[in-house]
Amino acid sequence: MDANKIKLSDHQVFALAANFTMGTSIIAVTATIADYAKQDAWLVALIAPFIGLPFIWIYHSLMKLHPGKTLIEVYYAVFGKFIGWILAFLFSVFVCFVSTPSVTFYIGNFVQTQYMTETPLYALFFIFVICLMVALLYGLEAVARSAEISVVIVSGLIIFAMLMNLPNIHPKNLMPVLEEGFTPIIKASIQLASVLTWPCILFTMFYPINTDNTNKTRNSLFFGYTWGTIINLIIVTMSVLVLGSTIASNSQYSTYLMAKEISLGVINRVEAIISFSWIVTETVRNILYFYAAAVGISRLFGISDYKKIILPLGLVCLVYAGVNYPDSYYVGKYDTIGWTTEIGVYGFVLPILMLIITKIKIKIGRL
Amino acid sequence: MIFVKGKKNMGIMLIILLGVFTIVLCMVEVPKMLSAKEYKEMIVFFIILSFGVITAVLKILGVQLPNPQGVVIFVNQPIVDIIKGVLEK
Repeated sequence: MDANKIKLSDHQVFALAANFTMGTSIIAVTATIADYAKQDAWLVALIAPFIGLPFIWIYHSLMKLHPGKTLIEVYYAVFGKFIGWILAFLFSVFVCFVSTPSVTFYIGNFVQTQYMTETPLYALFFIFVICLMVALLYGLEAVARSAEISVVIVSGLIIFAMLMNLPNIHPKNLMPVLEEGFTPIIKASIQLASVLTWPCILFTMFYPINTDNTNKTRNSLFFGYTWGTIINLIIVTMSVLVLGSTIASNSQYSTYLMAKEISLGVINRVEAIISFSWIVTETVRNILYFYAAAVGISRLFGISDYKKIILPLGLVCLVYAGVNYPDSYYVGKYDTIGWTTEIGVYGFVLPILMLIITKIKIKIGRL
Repeated sequence: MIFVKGKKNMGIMLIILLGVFTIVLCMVEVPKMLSAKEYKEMIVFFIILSFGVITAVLKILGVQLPNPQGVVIFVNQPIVDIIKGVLEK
């Protein structure tokens, strides 16, 4: 069966985009932003959609000029066969495929530290990698349909948890606004964009080729991204309001910690809601990384059906889930140095460059 | 043994499990690909599978595997230094 024949509806693209954007932001992102921007973290989260929408517009207009192609073939068309192959290889292996075990490690590490402290990490990785493989063997359409359900449940649960938390807020925590000028905000915005915005380049692996109407689907990508950033804004603001910037930046899972504060008579242990929604959305994000890696690698070697290499890739992913991050110190080091620059090149520099080159090539009539 | 500390036979069990997985996977996939004459697919399939099996066995035996993220950090360190220098001026 040809993977190109799958058609996603507009609402499915919306659900995938919203799930993808919410994925990391629910738990993992608050600490990073609060570390840089302190009490101004909510400002950073507020400008995130305004940073992101131009980039999604750039991805959209790039893919519109290359109808019927995935990102891999766009690299070929723009940079030629040789350089394009190298760029596409680095993209599908070092951006997409290396992220898959890393996100698996994130989930496994969270479950181990918060719930199952005695369980070995590989036992947890095993479950999540099996989930990835099964999801992709069913195909992207099944993932999109489940994302349609989960986006409603997760958004509802998070908004519910945040409303429960309203009695605990301390407005004083936001007080000295812009204490250290704009530099920390720019730094934190780069960090946030590297998690929320630039990874959206992955959507170009299925966005024009597996959707019906390119222009209408662009709007649902916009809405999905904006929805994810709104949830992110709520979470970051509430974390700083409830915990204060110092605790929010020092604890690895600050949203989880904040949800522990909730106790309204009979309603207790709301943090399970947060961890449930985080695991669900993060798994969708992980599936999309894995999908991009599998499709990318199969296109690179001229394989028509990506499902043939899912199981071997899953085995490699399972092994590398325990290799990629040896310890928690390394998580911060890789996420600030390695990932930000890498996704900055592939989500920020290269798309703009490719858009310009494509426009020039069309003008001189070579495309 | 990395997987479960303190249990001696766990590694052998895992290697046997890995072997069973590999054999079953080959028995299911290879005849399909042979009958469809997809030789390119088969080569890529076997390269990735053998990579996975070798790394898995090494990991079970407790060997430190090379980390792809280390490569990424090593390549990107100079760029990060430049950006940091610009922002902290």
